[in-house]
Amino acid sequence: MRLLRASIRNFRNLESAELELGPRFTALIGQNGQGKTNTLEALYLIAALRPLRNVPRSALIRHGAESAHVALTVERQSTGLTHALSLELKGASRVLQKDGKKAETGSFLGHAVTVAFTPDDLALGKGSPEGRRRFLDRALLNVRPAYLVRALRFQKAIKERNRVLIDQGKDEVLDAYDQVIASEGAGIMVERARYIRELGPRAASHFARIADPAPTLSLAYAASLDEGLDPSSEAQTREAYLAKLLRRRPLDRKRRTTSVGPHHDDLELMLDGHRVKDRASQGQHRALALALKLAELTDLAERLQEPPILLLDDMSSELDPVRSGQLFDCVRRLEGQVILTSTEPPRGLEASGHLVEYDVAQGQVTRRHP
Amino acid sequence: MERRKVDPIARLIQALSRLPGVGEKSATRMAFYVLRQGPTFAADLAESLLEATQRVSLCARCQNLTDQAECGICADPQRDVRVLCVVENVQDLRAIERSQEFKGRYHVLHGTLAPLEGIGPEGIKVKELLSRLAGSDRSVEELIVATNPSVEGEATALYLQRVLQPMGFTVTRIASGLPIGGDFEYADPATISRALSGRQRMS
Repeated sequence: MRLLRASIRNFRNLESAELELGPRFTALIGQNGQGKTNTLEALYLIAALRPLRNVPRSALIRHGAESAHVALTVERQSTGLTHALSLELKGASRVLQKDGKKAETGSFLGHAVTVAFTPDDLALGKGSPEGRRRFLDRALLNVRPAYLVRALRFQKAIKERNRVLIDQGKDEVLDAYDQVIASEGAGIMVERARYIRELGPRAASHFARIADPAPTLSLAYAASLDEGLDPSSEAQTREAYLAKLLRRRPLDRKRRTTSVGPHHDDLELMLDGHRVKDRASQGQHRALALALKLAELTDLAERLQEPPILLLDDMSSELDPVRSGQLFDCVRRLEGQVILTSTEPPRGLEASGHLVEYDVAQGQVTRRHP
Repeated sequence: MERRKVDPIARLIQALSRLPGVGEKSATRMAFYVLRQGPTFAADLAESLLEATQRVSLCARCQNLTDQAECGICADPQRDVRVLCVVENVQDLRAIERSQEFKGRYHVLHGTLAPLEGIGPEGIKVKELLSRLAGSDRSVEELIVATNPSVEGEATALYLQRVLQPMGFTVTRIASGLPIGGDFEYADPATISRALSGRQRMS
């Protein structure tokens, strides 16, 4: 898939921006705080329907404006069709349109499958389990569209169960919530475990190529359900989860929170059998993050049978020239579309042709003509 | 000092815009329409509003809205007294009635469990359900739980199952999946996923 045109109005600090995106590389160039990442954020939001960074929805609308608007024209190579997507944010509401008609989340998603790589991702290995769960969940949203609904239902059910625990509600009500949580939670755990199995060998081979020296990287799903998780059977996992929720209930009642489930799980990263957290160097952490992202990207390209769109935020200042070269080599091989932000005009991309450059200054986005 | 009177047109617009689905624009249009129609129309409208709110109350048996002690469905001797369909609200009851597919009686919960809003089993008409099952409606054998497939609707259904099954009732849940007459290609992934996992052997 390929983004052809984008139009952004009253989004963050951008009053009005029109972009014609290059078929291969588009660079958004400017100093910090001018609106480069905001432009990327607008593209990610309309593609993935979730914010790139953790900001409240109200902060997405430009100060003083009533509503924010993002529109996108996207072309699918697999079908040859062009779709017009638009998103409007107004107060707490969000209106989606596809080809001029109102659309629901389910039929809107999947038309511009996008992977974002931001400086935050470089902390994947040494950061909190929450960051690694977010990585898994974002990747799975691209792979399995029904995952979004499951994840939202699970979050809601957990919030409601926790409230019942706080209010010291009846056991019968907890029984009911345990069932809802076990159904949605088992689905999430099984999907994650299966995905990690696919991703593991890919990440290991990318890591072996990038890192120097390169110990063996392996991935595992560290589930709070431990032996009860059976990736081949959602039904069995559900039963095991249900039993564990019941066993933990006295503890959960005391702590007034749900202590077991996918919201406590982790993606375990190991080098030569040792946890990455305890042992990797700064350089290895960067190589690891890059390997994970490349694995996600290549796996997704294979599943979609066309390359997804890659958004790169400020990578040239975060990765050394060798690593960013490795990243671009892989991207070139995939022949996918890349939109990147940078403080300097990117070097080495003009050679591959098709480089489109925009200057971003004080919320204005203007095309740079060669 | 004389108190300034509220502009009657503004007051009417404000009152109308409190209705669900009515914004200020529609409320303004309605207000001017009422003014054009004159006092007879307005009196009739006001009277029907008052009458409905004063005379309509909850059916003593099923909690449906009615102007009698018992609603028309509960009073109908043709209805199957062995089956009870449990719904969230009166609109859902009406939707099922429109289909003319259900011949049993109903029980309206007037809500679902909603812990985040402080609503537990005592906040919906569960007590009324249990007391009718133990009293005037002992003939009930099966309860069809037709709450929404939302998290709250699902939790409410599971709660009812948890309470009613040990009492010896057959508790069933309406199926969810693809809409008949809708296009498969426009169904959302979650609905398709649900329809697949709820598939049935063809016999």
